[in-house]
Amino acid sequence: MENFSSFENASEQQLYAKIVYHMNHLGLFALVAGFALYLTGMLTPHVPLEDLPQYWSLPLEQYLEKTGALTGWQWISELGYGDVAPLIGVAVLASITLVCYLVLFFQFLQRGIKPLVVITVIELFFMLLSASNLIQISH
Amino acid sequence: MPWWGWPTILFFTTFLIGVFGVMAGIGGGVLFVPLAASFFPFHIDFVRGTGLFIALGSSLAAAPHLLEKNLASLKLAMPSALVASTFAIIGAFLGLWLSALNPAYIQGSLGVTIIGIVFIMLFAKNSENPSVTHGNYLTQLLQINGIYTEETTGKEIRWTVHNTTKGMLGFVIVGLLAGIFGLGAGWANVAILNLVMGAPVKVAVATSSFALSITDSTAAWIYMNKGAVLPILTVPSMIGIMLGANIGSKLLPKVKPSVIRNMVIGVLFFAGVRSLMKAFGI
Repeated sequence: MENFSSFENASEQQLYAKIVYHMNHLGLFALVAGFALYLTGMLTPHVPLEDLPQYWSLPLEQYLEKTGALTGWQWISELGYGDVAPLIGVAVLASITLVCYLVLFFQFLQRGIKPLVVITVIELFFMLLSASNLIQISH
Repeated sequence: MPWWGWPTILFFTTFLIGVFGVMAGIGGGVLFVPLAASFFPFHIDFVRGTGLFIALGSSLAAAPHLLEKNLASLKLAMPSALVASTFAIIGAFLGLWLSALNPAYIQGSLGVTIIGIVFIMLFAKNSENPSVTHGNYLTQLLQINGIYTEETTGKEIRWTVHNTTKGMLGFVIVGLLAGIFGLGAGWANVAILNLVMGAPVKVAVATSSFALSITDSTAAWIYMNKGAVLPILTVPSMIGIMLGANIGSKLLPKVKPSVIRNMVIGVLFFAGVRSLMKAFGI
């Protein structure tokens, strides 16, 4: 029988909640603002809005080939385009867990909780690997 | 139809998915992907990319409240999400590869998966407070335990889990499905956390919802890097589902969840069959 009185929640949980809360608001704001600039035509898109129906039913590879859309991190250099601007919000939302885990890493390290440090490091490795666009597949 | 026609229909569809998904206790991603893949003109590659961001957005919106209330557990989510997110990367590449070979492979396997999910939803019965007297070695090593206050009784509930290794094997499948199809996989998380590992149902539901934000982040980056995130689909869908979920949570006390749940399961079954038919060109 386990000692139930020693049970506790991770103290880092509340800090994690605060980071998610604030970054989620930031990400949503960037997403909506970027989309508004796109829809209103304040930023010109790579692919004109009225041409999109010709392309959105194509498989990804054909879509990329025909529209010349960017992959990987190339979008950073094209933020002035309407269909690229909303990706800032998308990237912020996809980065929230990464930021939280970086904070967790230092917290767990400071408290000397080795198993959780190891889990955090492995998860960070996979997140950075997928965000880096270093893994490629060939058909 | 003008260019804005389908995105507008998509917005209203995701709004309804948000309303009914919350009332039925079913995540948005699992409803969105088969419906959008079967009834909209968008290619399944873009539908899956959007599905992942819908699941990610819903999970991120719910996480702060669930963590603050100690219903979602960081210590339970971390090892589960590590396994699931690792396999979500493999799943994401597998999905994009299969789709490049022949989109019908993805469409067909999505149909089969959705029909399988319908049966799991119909027959898996959660256990409110499973009896777990002691955890195993892995549970103790990772200190997977916690406390939360049951609001209906004001009682403090202390919990731990067992069968951790079996549970982690379940998360391999959860991760693969999330990556391949862009599904949230909350339906599977809850069953594993509650029925296999013995977490109280409230902790299982909340931790599942929170853990999706970790699992889906890795796959979401892959879809984004490959160019499979189209703002014209993703943004209206995310906004629609968030607004819908907000309305749904307000309507929740006034409706009978079991009736809505059966209705939604019916729609899901129909979308699964439609997806399967589409794979065979019917």
